[in-house]
Formats: sequence, structure tokens, C-alpha cells
Amino acid sequence: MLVLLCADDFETILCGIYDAWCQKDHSQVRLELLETCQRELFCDYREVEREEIKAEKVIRSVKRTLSEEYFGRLYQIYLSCDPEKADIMYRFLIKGFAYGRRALDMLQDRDMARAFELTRFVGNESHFIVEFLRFEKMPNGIYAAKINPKNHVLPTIADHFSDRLNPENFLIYDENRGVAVVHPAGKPWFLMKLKKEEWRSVFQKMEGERQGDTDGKEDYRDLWKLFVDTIAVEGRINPKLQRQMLPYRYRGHMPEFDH
Amino acid sequence: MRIAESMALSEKLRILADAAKYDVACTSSGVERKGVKGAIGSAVSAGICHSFAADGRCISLLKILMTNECIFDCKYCVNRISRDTERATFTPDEICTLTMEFYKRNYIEGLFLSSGVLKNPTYTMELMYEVLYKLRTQYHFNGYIHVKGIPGAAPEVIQQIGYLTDRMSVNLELPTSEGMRRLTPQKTRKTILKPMRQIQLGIQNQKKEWPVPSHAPSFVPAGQSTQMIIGATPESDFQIVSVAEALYANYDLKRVFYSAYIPMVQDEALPALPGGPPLLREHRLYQADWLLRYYGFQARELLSEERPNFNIFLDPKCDWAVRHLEYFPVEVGWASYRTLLRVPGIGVKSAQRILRARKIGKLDFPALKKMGVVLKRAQYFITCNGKMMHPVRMEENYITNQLTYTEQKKNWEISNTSSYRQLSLFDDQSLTAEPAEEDGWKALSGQM
Repeated sequence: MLVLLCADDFETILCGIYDAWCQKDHSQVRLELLETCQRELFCDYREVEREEIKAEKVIRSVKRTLSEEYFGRLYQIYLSCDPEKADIMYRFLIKGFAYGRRALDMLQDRDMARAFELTRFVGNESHFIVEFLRFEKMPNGIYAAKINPKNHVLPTIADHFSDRLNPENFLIYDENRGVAVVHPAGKPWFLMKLKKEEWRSVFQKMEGERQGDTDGKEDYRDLWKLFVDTIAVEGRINPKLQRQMLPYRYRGHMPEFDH
Repeated sequence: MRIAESMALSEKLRILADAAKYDVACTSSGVERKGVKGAIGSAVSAGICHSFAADGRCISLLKILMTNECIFDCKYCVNRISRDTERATFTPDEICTLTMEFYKRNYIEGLFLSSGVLKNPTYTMELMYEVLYKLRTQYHFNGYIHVKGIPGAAPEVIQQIGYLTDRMSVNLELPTSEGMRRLTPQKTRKTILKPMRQIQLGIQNQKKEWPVPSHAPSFVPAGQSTQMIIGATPESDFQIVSVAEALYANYDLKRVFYSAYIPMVQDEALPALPGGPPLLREHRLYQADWLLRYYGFQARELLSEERPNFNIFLDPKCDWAVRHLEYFPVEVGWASYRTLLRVPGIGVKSAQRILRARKIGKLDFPALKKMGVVLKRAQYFITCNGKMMHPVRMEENYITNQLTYTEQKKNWEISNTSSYRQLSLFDDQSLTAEPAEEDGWKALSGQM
């Protein structure tokens, strides 16, 4: 068994897929992520090198032979937090090139069902983040939000917010990855990666300016808490339903749950 | 009780959100609108919930009354004129700033503006128009707006508001005009249906009357909805579902909402509900409503004059299926889309997935499960490659027992949300000797 080790970025995984394709037998080769790989006996390990040209070739043939939609799904699998995602992307393309674009509907197939599971999780979590993310207005006028999702959802949610809040400067920071979407008013968004300590000092600096203010924490936070508390109907209190709809792990940065 | 004009914003918000909370609709669905350069906001057709309150209901919009002063005297309402309560009124700017500031922080998807009736319905709606106009033009808000239509308002002001809002709703209040005569002295069925018809025609004709149809301003693009109170008057479920069906067919409504009656004010015309609000009944009505809108069912199939109320032990779809075992089991390999939709445990999404997947290859039960089919219910009604999952006796009683056993705990939780249960050595939740259906209803409505 040949195991190809890829760094966790989209192009490198595509290069790995390119290299794996050159092997004769798909069942005798496997892709794994460099960080999470557990080495086994009787396997031949090889590290994948990133070469733009290979990645481009893969992208081009997926888009041309399969479809834009198929490529979109492939990218969505890459955003997943599943440690096996590189291999799932590889199998996803094997089935795609064997059956054509209709492979997307083949949920009875093990590989396709696995890919479907991952994309569904990424899609669902992105939707939750769009719902429950909370901005806070910093003293310098920037709207900043912190999130801690399991999957790398930033690329999927950035368009939604930059379309909606296009006249504002905002920042959405993924605490788990140290990456943020940055949106300057009226301009396209971009991703920014810094070390976690650096992010901490960025936020401290923004927060620090507030200390001088007489107001302290902003009022709209309190008004919102008041609204959420008031709007519940006493005769129908149902924490279990509330938890089902809004799981605890999303509540960390929501002002209405900050008691 | 009157309160001075100079009330703090937080105090007003508390009073006017509290007065608005009994309105059910809080959806932000029905319209897809991209952002506009320089303006704040967009709309997503599926709608977005931004939080869930302690009662588990979604908070999507900033749901407030413009004022809770009201000249009407509806018996069940907290804002009725004859009730002694704190009164407050927002200024247009206060509503606009609150909406904008909440929206930019991603707290809400837009504004839900309702109001008590100040002076007269037309005057009130003119004030609401002023708020919306300000919000759209001065504050450049491009997000979702849902506004209440007040029965009896002049058609002109309803027309004008229709161009600024995304959804408009006129409350039906009670399912039948008989109930309305008793509880809402100033409103009649006629004054409610009139604006509904006007909005419907406005939506239908908006493109026709404009010289360049594609440039026509959109009129109530997310459609209209309504709501009725369940359990304050003695209508049967059959009557209620039939009313909803007629509204969908004749008025092109997007949604009908049901709200379990919660006694907030005492009045001899109103029932006492010692058992709490009829939440399970409300839940069943929503399930049935879904069946009408997306699953091709008709009210007559679900209920009839002889069986006017829903089974409290089974959801309406299971209930229909066990009474029509002659149609089952169906083969997932070739059953039509409409047939699949009628199987309990198969929803719109999973039916579509089945249709696409079976074109390419055979299906089996684990694959169905992965596609989102709830086998716990579906297993009694389907075959896969000619075989059922387990050998099943196709017998109404047997299947009903199997299904109720799994459903019972859930149903109990819906109707007893905040109370506790004594631990017991004997699991009496799975007793087969069930109380008669009437007993269940009496228990629910508080007569027993």
C-alpha cells in the first residue's frame, strides 16, 4: 500500500490526487493528511510536493469533464474537519470520473455517501454560523465577530456577510484556526492568517480603546438581551427545544447567553 | 395607566416587545434579495433564525409593537382598551435605530412591526408607513420587513405600505366568524378578508399594470400570511384545517400560523385551561398544515365530520397511513414521487434523493437511512428490492401499537413542557390499554 502524505491545503491535496492517479490500482494507494497520519507497518509513505501546475490540471479537468457544481462539492469536502478528508476527496473524484456528474446522486455508494456526509456537515455548520454569529462594534467602528466552528466555514460564509454589510468594515475571526475574513468597506473580502498571540494583541488593541470611553460595554448588547428575555412566552418555556434548535457549542459568543 | 413621553428606550422596548410576543409569525422567508451598494441588508429566501428564546421559538425579526395603546376591546388580548396596563409608543427614529443597530450586529434578520390601534386603523397604518419609509429611504435598510395589516384601514395606505414591506399579514384571529362575534366585538370576518383580498390582487397584478413589467416595484414580494388562535373557541380540528385549506386555495397565502391559546386575561367569555395551553394540538395542526402545503394531502383525507379531531397518539401522516394500509407497502425502487411522499418517515428531501439515486443503482435499507429516511416509521410501509426490513404483519392495530410506543414519550413532552415526572418501577408509558381519544382531549383542554 502506498500512502501519500499531504499538507492541509487545497492545492497540495489536489497534487496528491494527481500523483495517486498515476498509480495503476486505486485500491493500493491512499491519501492522508501529514498532521493526523498514524504510520502503519507494510506501507510505503511518500510526501506530496506542491506544484501549481498539477493542481491546476486537476481543477481544470474536474470543471470541464464533471461540472462547476462537482468542483464546488470537492472544495466543500476540503473545508471539512474530518481527518480522512484527503482520501475522501480522492475517492470522490474516482467515482466522478467513472460515472460522470450524476455520481453526485449515488448516495447508495459508500464513497459518495461519505462525501455527502462531510459536505452536509460543512453546509449545516456554515448555516448555523450565519445564524448565530454576533458582531460587536469596536470603538474604532469595526464590527468584529469571533467564532469557533469545527469545520473551516469562513470561505462559505464570507460572501453572505460582505454582500449584506457592504458599507461596513468587518472582521470574522475563527479562533480554532487563527484565520479571519477581513472586509474593508465597499471592497472584496480576503482571508488573513496570523498566529493566535498576534490575534490576541489585535483584539486587545481594539478593546483597549474602549477603556477610555465613559460608556464601557455598548448599550445595544443589553437592549438585545432584554429583548430576548422579554420575547419568550412564560406558558411555553421549553429549554430542551431551545437546546435542540441552538446547541450549547454555538452560544459562547452570543450576548443573550452571557449572564 | 399612562406614562410620560420621556420613557427610556429600554423601558419602551420591554413593554412593546412584551406586548408583541403573542404574535406567532417570526419567519423571514419568501424573498431572495441581494445586497445593494451603499445600503445595509439582504434577504435569503429560506429565511434565517438568529436566536431561540427560552420557549424554543425562533427569533428572526425584531418583533415589536409601534404602540400598545389600542381602541379595540378584543377579549383575549393583553392590549385591550379595558385593561389596566403600562402603555408606551416608539418614535419612528427609535424603531429605525434599533433595527439598524441590531441588524448590523447580526442579531436579527429584519423588522416585524405590529401595532395597537391608535385613533383609527387608517391613522395607525399611516404612522407605520412613516416608519417604514424612513427605514427604507433615510436609513437605507434593505433587509426583511414584515408588517401587520390592520383590518379596517383604507386601501390606499395598505397599497403604499405594500411597496415597502416584504411580507404583510392580516390576522384571522379566530377560525370561525361565530367565534369572532363573541370575542372580537370591533372586528368582523369581512373587515379581515377585505385587505387580504386586496393584497392578493396587488401581488397578482403588480406586473401587469406597469409599462415595463420587469421594472415594476415589487409589491409584498414575500407574500402574505395569517394566524389564528386555537383553543379559545370550540372549533374542531377539522374546521380549522378546512379554513386553512380554503385560505391557501382562495387567497394564495404563504403560511397560516396557529397559536395555542394562552389565558392572559380573565373574562367570562374565555375558557379556563388548567392543563396549560393546548400545545400538542397546535403541534398536530402544524404537522397537518405541512401535509397540505408540501405533501399533496387534502383536509378531507386527514379528518372528516365523523372524526373531527387529530389522534393525539399519532402524527397525522402516520394516522392516515395506518388507516389506509391497502396502499402499502410501497416499493422504493419504483414508487412515484407522490406515493413516496405519503410514506411516514419519508420527507420531501429524502424522496427527491431516492428518485435520483435509484436511477443509477439499487437501494438498500442502510442507504435509505443515510439519505435521511426515518426507518423507525418508514419500515412498516416500504419494501426495498421486494423485501421489508423486518417481517411485519400488515395489520392496523399491530402497526399502530408499534408506532405509538415510539411516539409516546415525545408527545408527552410536548404537552408537558415544564413539569416533572415521578420515577416509576413500571413503565406505564408503554401500557397498551390506552385511554379513549375523547379522554385525551378532555385532559388536554383542561376539562378533566
